[in-house]
Formats: sequence, structure tokens, C-alpha cells
Amino acid sequence: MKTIPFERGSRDKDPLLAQASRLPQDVAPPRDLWPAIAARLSDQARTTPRRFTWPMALAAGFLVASVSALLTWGLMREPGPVSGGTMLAGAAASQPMFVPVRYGPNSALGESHLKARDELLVQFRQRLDELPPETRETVVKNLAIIQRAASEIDAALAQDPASGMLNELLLSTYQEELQLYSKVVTAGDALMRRS
Amino acid sequence: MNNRMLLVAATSLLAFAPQAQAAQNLSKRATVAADASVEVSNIEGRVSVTAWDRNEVELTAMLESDKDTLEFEATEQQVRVKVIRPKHDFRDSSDAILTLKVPQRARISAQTVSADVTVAGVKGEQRINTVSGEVHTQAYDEPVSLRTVSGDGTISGTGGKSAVSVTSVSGSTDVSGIRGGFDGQLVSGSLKIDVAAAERLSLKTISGDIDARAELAPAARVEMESVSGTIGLRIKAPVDAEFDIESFSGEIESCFGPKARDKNAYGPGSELQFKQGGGSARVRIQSMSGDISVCDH
Repeated sequence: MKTIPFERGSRDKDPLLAQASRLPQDVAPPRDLWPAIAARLSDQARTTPRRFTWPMALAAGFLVASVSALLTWGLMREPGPVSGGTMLAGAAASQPMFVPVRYGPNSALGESHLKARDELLVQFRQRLDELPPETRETVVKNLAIIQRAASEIDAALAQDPASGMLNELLLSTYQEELQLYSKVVTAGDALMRRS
Repeated sequence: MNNRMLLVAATSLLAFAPQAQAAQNLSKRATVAADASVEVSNIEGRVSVTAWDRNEVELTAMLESDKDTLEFEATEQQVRVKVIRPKHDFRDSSDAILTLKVPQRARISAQTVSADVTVAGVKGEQRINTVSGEVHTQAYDEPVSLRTVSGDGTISGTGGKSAVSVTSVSGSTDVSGIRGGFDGQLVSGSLKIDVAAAERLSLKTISGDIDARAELAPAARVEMESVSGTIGLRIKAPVDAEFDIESFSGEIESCFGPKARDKNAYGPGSELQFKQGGGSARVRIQSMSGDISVCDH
């Protein structure tokens, strides 16, 4: 194999290098491409701020379905004889403390998510009081697990705010929280519809 | 009574016994369609449903408390059985034991609070919701859905192509012998599944552990995600799939294919993307801090 030395004078001796050296040093495009590229980047940034759009849509769909089903159920159900009152007061005294999941500053959950959840929470609190104590304890314990997960994801999002995976996990965590409330509310149906 | 018409044996059995706490032993029977819907609701105790080769529903009930009421309503297409407790007192732990015989193709909907549910030989669709009861059932070809808060569960498949779904808060659930699709979600607890010819697997957990064995059908889709729970996926060889695995701070291990690598030199996260065989199936797994392992044996 022939090796061409690259000292300054060698290109004068080698015809191929001599030809190459006569090629233009840069090639200008026939038109300025940057404005079109900049416009596309700008559009993309506007439409997809994060890889978050479709999970948000899924979450919103789930939320609407859950809240709608529960509100319908709430309107349709028979009024039970044991409403609030003594039962709730008695049960509340012994129940473990329940705190809804708090999502940190890096978690991109909007006000609308939290507002919808708060509406569900009203029914959840009533049903939670009516569950057997050990089940109530399990529910509260699992809400604490969801809280821990939400906090861990929030801390991770602080390091990598644009992570599609973390944002998906955050939404799954939020959905799990809602599903837990939903399970308790619908399960309480068996207790509430009494003669 | 004409069974073709709205047959109602709407019998509210307010069988108050003369003495307090006397148990009530009750039985009811109704002729129904082969695929009738049977809805059962119980608070504490047990629900046992067994299939038989008659187009009839037979209920045998034992209510420990004389204050409980049993509601039994039947039409040709639908049977409703419900234990009603006038005022729920947690200190009163009286059981209601419901034993049902139903047609093989009956569709079951069971809702319990602290009652165990056992279903055997029923080939129709099943929807079982419990708060803290245990559930044991079988899956044939029709969908089986299990929702629990704290109860454990087992779903034993018989090799039929049934869409099985489990959502559990903290129980331990074991699903085996099913084909086709599976959908599982859990907060804590554990989920163990074994699926043949899997076309679609979707598994999500917060801190619960998932142990999945699967034989993947061509073009199968597998989606698994976890916040802090561990995910184990064992795929029956030969593996023909494309893998996309990512974790923020958990470990990724695979007993075949390349090793996981850091997502970038200075930040957290590791990932593993590769194709095994022709790559016809798609496997996507992600976790925040949970460990992920994939193996072919």
C-alpha cells in the first residue's frame, strides 16, 4: 500500500492531491436554508413541548370517564340509611390519617387534573370511612406508596424534566391514585345500598 | 310461571328468626338461559360459584346473622343475589356463605367487601370486584376481569384464549395457563403471570413486583412499566423480538443480547435496545428505580 506523506510540498508532487487542492474550500447552498429550518424547529417546539401529549390525552380520557361514571353513579344510587352522621364520626375517630397525593413542582399536572381529583375525593372520603379498619389501613398505606412514587418521580424530573419516560410514569402514578379512589367508591356501593 | 317472560322470583327473604343471632339457612332455584347473567353481592363471608350442566341457578345461603337479608331476583336472562346488611357494624363479623350452581356459559359478576370468591367451571365472562376477599377462579375463552384492593387472587387458565385483566392495590395475584392477552396493574403486592402465545401484554406497577413468563406470538406487543417495583420477564426461546428498555436509576439485565449502557456520560439513566431473531415482536419496558431483567429461560 502506498502512503502519501502530507508535508506541504507533497501535493505539488502528487497529481491527485494537486487536483483536490484546487477544489473550493466551501460550497454555498443555492438558497438560504436556515429560515425554513428555524420555522420547523419553532413549530415543533410549540406543538410538542414534551413527549407528553398523548399520555396527557389518555389521562384526560381516563379522568373524564372515571369522574363521569362516578358522578352518574352518585346520582343514580339509592340513598342509604346510614348517611354521614354517627357512622362517619365513629369511624373517623379510629381511621388512619388519609392525605391525598401531593405532586411536586416538577410534575406537570395541571390544575384541571387536581380539581377533577378533588371532586372524586369527596366520595372517596365517605366510602373510606365505611370500609373495615384493616382495609382502610391497606388503602392508606398504598396511598403512601403512591405518594412516595410521585415524590421520587418529581425528584427525577428535576434532573431530567424532558424525559418522556418519567412523564409517562408520573401519569401512570396519577392514574393509579384515581383508580384507587374509584375502586373504593365502587366497592362501597355494596355497603351503601342497604335496606 | 312462564320462563320466557319476565319471570320474577323477586323474593326478599326477611327471615327474622325468633331468637337473636339465629342463623338463616335459605335456598332458591330459578330456570334461566344458558348464558344468563348472574350478579352476586356479599359483604362478609364467602361466595362459591360452580358450573353444572343445567340451565338453572341454584342458591344455597347461610346467613350467620338474623339481621342480614338475602335478596334473590331472577328472570330468564338475569339473576341477582345480594346480601343486605341493614346497618353495617364492624364489630359484627357475621358471615354470609353463598353457594351457587349456574349454567356453564353463565356470565358472572361478583362484588364483595370481605368475602372470598371461588368460581369453578364457569365458561362465561367473569367480572369480580373485591375489597379484601381472596379470589380463585378459572379462565376459559371469555374475558375475566379481577379488581381487588387487598385480597390475593389466582386465575387458572385452561389453555383457552381469554382476555384476562387484573387490577390490584396490594394483593398477591397469580395467573397461569392463559393464552392471548393480559392486562395487569398493581400498586404494591405482587403479580405472577404465565401466558402462552401472548399477543398483547400490558403490565404496570408502582412498587409491586412483576414476574412474567411469556411465549410471544409473532408481532406480539409487550408494554411493562414500573416506578420502583422489579420487573422480570422470561420469554420462551427462541426469542424473536425487538427490545426497547429504559430505566432512570434501576438496573437492566438481560441474559441475551448486548448489555445495557448509560444514556449519557454525565446524567442518570440506562437503556438497552436490540433486536433478537427477526424482531417481529415489540417489547418495551421502562422503570424509574425498579430493576428490570429479561431472560429467555
